[in-house]
Amino acid sequence: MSFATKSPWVIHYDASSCNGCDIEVLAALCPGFDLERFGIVNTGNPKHADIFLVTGSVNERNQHVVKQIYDQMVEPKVVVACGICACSGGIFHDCYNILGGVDKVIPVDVYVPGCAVRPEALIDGVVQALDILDQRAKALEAKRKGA
Amino acid sequence: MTIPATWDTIALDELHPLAVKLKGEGYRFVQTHAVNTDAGIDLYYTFMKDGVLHNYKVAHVTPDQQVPSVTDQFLSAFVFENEARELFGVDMRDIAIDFGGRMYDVSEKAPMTYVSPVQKKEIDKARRAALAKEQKLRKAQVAQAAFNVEHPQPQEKGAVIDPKAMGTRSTVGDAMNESLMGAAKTAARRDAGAFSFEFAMRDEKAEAQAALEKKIAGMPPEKAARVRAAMAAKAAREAKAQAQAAAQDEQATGAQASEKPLDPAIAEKIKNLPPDKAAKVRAALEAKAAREAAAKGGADAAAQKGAE
Amino acid sequence: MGKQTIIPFGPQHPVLPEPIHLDLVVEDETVIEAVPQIGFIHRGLERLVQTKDYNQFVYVAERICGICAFGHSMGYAETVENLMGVEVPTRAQYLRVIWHEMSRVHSHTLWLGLAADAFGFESLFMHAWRLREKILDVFERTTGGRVIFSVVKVGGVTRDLDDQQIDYMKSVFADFRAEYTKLIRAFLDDSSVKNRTVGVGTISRADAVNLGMVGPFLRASGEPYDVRMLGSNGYGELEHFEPITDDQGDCYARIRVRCEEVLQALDIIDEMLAKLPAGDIAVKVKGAPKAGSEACNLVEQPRGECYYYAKGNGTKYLDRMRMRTPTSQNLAGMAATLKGCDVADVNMIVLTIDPCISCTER
Repeated sequence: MSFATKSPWVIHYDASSCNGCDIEVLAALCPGFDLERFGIVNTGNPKHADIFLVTGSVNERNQHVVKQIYDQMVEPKVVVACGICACSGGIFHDCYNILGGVDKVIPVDVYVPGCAVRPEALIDGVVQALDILDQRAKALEAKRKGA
Repeated sequence: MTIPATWDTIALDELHPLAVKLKGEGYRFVQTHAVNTDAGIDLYYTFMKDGVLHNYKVAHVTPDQQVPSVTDQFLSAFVFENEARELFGVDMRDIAIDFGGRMYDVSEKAPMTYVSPVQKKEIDKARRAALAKEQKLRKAQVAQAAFNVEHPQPQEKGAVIDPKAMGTRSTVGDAMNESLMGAAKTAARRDAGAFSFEFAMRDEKAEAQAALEKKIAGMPPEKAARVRAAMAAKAAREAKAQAQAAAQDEQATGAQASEKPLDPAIAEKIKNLPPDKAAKVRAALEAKAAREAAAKGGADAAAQKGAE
Repeated sequence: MGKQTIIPFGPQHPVLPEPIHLDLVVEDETVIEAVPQIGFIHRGLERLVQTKDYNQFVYVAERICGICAFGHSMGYAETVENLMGVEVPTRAQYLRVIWHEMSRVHSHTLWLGLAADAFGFESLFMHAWRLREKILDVFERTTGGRVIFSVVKVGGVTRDLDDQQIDYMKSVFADFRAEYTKLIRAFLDDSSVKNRTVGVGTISRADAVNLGMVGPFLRASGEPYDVRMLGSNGYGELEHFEPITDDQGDCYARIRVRCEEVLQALDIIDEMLAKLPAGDIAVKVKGAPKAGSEACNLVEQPRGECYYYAKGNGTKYLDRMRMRTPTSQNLAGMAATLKGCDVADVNMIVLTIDPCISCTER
């Protein structure tokens, strides 16, 4: 395990979610399911975060916000799309103001479906994201050493 | 029990004075919304006082009409008025907190006024179906009325057997037995259980009723109440239909009777006929009489005129 | 005269669970004006009535907001039942009230945690959410879902409660009540909490009524208005209902009102469970709403009064479905409360309104 995956910090942003997935994300961080035992802390600053948990689909106005948060994060970073609305638009995919899932604006690494996403599935998704984060951190390290 | 609500329609220029009046009377503003219709946008304003919702509708607002804002009276309306402007294309003026049409920043202009072709087809289909159903019902009623005129209920048409009056005996069988054996002997033998072939005019209707009552007794109370209500409704419907048919019957046959007094000569001719035929014959004879009278009157008038 | 700066607040902010953008016009440390900007969650789901018929739309109505999910599905179903003249069986009405009050308990407990987190009381946030898991366990046992239940349909409910479940529920609520009472005393009696909330963001009763506010936000300013006291649908079966009010109108009052509403909701659930009648849980609904028919309905959601309107057009797709959620009425109140407060208090004030922006924007 590299340094990045020992205690990854998450930043959570609600794109156009109904809040169901948001409260499940927060519930996963709370004593009921306790993601904090992995050293995961919820931060508000994109520059401190390693994992970007996005809930909800992308609409006309928040596509810029999602892109901006992603751009502000520092490498290595992973994106986890929580809930079916973030994966593909969910039940609202044919609404007039919805562009689609989050992958319309940023590259997504782990898709966790569900409506609302269950905390157990979320933990599973975050652990898979940690593997990807590990690979990326190692690749970055190698590039830095090689170059 | 649902929340009591009233629905009223007002004109566009009554809107602002109404808002001022309701504010003065202490009404609470509930909400504003818009509904897209074929003839324009309907704006609904809802107010509440003492537990009753009052809905006021401004009907058929077109995009060229300016709608005054009520935010000077009720500030909380600004969200809904901005929304009506942005999503429905209503021209709202003087909103207290105005987002200039960019509250939601949607890419489609007035998206809620869009009705998809699939939807339109469904609505038209439903409207046509409702119209066809109504026409069919009316035709059926007319046909039933006509049928009732042609075939009225049998009245005094020879020896009609009335099952209820008979009881469980057959008058014909009785008469036969009595003429053969004598009345007393017949009675004695009947009591002993003979004449098993004697058919009992069953009151089928009463039997069906009894069976249904038994079934209802076995049902859970809610369902039983429903079934009873349905039966009562059906009985009321049938009674009404019969009354209607009877009324039309009377109209067809008795109209002429109530109109003019019966000519004694005609009455003599039709007194032995069955009622519908009587009506027709009477009508024909009266028409003939009227024609003759008219011709006579005309001749008289001509004669009189000629005499002047 | 100090220099005026504009501080943008949101849409991404650690204290806000939902995106709302406020431009705070600040002079030194005092907020002179707060200009809200919304539109980050607008999905446009009211137009979905054109593609989903009145039975399917319950699922969309539920997902307007995940916290008030049950309230929306119940309000929608009641409105369509009103539109079509459908009479729901009594047992279904009782079940709906029970689940709705449980929804209120979970929403207020969630809110309590977030409010505590807003000024750094993170351990209370963790405790409140740990307690809330108990309620979510009951939801899961009785409906199958933790957040979105899908247990209401037009004509009644889809699941029933059996005796085993009812016993389980009673034991959970007894535990919850005991722990919860201790928890709120820790919060309400704490001097640092009082320091940060008493006298902050005060709105007088006259202003509150003028601005058209609803819900606990309104009741904390002394106006006793609650839709449940009108006694509509299942709430008409309650023996007695008294809305909880406070006359101070500041942040502390709002916290207190919400904390006590949880206890009141638990009392209502106990009452309803004790006299739950036997019977059907749904009636079969056939046909479609008549063309030109209209109906409206009110429901007291955790955040306030919610208004529903439905219009039929003869097909199985509704012509228009409108949900006016409580936070949209409270936005004017929020803008007024933020005037004249300290920058550090903005978090607290925004949260005491309990904003549910996804409800507002749909």
